[in-house]
Amino acid sequence: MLFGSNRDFNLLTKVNRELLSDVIEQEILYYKFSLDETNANLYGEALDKVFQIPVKFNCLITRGDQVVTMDDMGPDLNREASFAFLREDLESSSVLPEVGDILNWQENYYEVDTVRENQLFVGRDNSYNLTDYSNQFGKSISILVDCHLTRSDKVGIIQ
Amino acid sequence: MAGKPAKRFEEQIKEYKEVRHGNTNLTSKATQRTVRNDDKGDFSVGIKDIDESIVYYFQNVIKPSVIQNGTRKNVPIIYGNQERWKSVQKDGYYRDRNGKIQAPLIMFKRESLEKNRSLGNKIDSENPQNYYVFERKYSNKNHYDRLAAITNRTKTREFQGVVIPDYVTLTYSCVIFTDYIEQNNKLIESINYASDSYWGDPDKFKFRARIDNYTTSTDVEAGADRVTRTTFTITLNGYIIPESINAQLQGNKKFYSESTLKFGIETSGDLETLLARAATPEAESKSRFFDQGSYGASTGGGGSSSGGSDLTQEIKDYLSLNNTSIASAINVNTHTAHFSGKTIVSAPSGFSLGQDEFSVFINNTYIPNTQRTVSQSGSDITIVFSTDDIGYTLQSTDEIVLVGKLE
Repeated sequence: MLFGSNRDFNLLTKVNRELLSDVIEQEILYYKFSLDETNANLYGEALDKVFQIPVKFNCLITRGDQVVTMDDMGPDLNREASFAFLREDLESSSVLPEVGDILNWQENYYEVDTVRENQLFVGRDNSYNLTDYSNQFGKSISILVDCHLTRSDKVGIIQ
Repeated sequence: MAGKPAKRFEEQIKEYKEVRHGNTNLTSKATQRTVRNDDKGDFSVGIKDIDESIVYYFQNVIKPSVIQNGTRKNVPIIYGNQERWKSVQKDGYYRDRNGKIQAPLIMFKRESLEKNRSLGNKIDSENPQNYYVFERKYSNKNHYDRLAAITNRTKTREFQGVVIPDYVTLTYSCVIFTDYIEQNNKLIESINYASDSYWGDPDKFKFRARIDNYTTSTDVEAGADRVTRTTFTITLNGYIIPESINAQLQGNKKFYSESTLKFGIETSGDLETLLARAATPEAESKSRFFDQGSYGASTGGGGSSSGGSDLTQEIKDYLSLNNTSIASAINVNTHTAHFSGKTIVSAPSGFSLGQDEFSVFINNTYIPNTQRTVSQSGSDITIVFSTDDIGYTLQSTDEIVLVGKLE
């Protein structure tokens, strides 16, 4: 193979990282559950949630509009947002995005609904190989997480 | 089991009593027992206990399993609609590394809870009337004590009264999710066998569960796996005793049997105390007399003072007199009972003799003073009844008894 080697990928990653951290400068805190310390009850819910120390990431944020819904409880605010991370950043911080994780952005908490990893450099993923040489070509570039605004009381994170 | 409410909810108890100050059950000292040194919490059964009984029965009794690819796989039981992190991150065992749910799986969730009024109830939550009474096998009030044997003290029995629970009928919807119909069949068979049993942990609570029908569907849709689903409903008869503060304060009663019966004597420290008591309203009681013979004090008996005289033999005889007589004749027309040859005694000086000194019974039923009049009529005693007040007329066969100061 000629194109899409690790050198090409590293160049792309550096450019993107500089773009995210020095130009776009959107930051979030990523909270992973401490699964050993968070005890769930019969209903699959934890009244006391324990999180690992949050990790700060630069990312690309696609903000949904604030939507106010009206029901018997009164007006309620909803918002959806997507956060796009460089996979290399997540990997170097040992953060694996999963459904249910919590993100803090602009003093609001977002719960991860979907994790998408579908942007591959030259269409290849170097971690999946049926041949010996192909682990030097292509790589997953980004991970996108789709989230919704969640209630801060439920998250229970005290700054 | 809940903890000790008096300690857990001290603030709540205080606030609750302030709000419900009119409820004498809460303020009466007679109904209050200390929970000090009590190693048992108050009794409660919650909805969660009932839900757990289903999980317990599936996991420990039915133990659903299927044969897949030549190996036996236990079927996980999950509650429906868990939190996302729990479902994906903590319960990863029924998903592959990409998050795809793997079959087989049994999901259940509670759909409804309905009060069952066909069974007993506590009548009023603020003043429960029906209790189960349990006796504890051991009471720390019964430590071995040689002195107890000498004093003939019997063991105290410790009881716990628990309010009649709220009987409820719960319905759960369940789904058996498998790849193959044959696997589904086996699971239905094992679950159906367990229907109509009492589900739950034998060390905790068991509830009767019924399953009436199973609906199976096999779906083959474009872009999706072929799956077989069986849905069924569990109807479970449960009961609830909540942990809420109003239930704990009034729903749990602790009490003891009597271990000793003591007859005491009331003594007075000195004459000054005695005189002070004689001046109180209590001294108006008929049953309190002060024999001032050795003190020279006034008496407080009979609602009047004996004027400083001794408690004479005449007074003593009068006070102790309490004879009984049965009516010798009854006039049903005049509503009068006659006690032939009976005489109302004369009260000694300082005492008055009124209607209160007599008790009248018709066929063992007490007749209040206001509904009859006892008087001396020649050589007989007569009682005239107010039949309007009594509510019925006399019969010649009635047994009318007079008790009091008569000879």
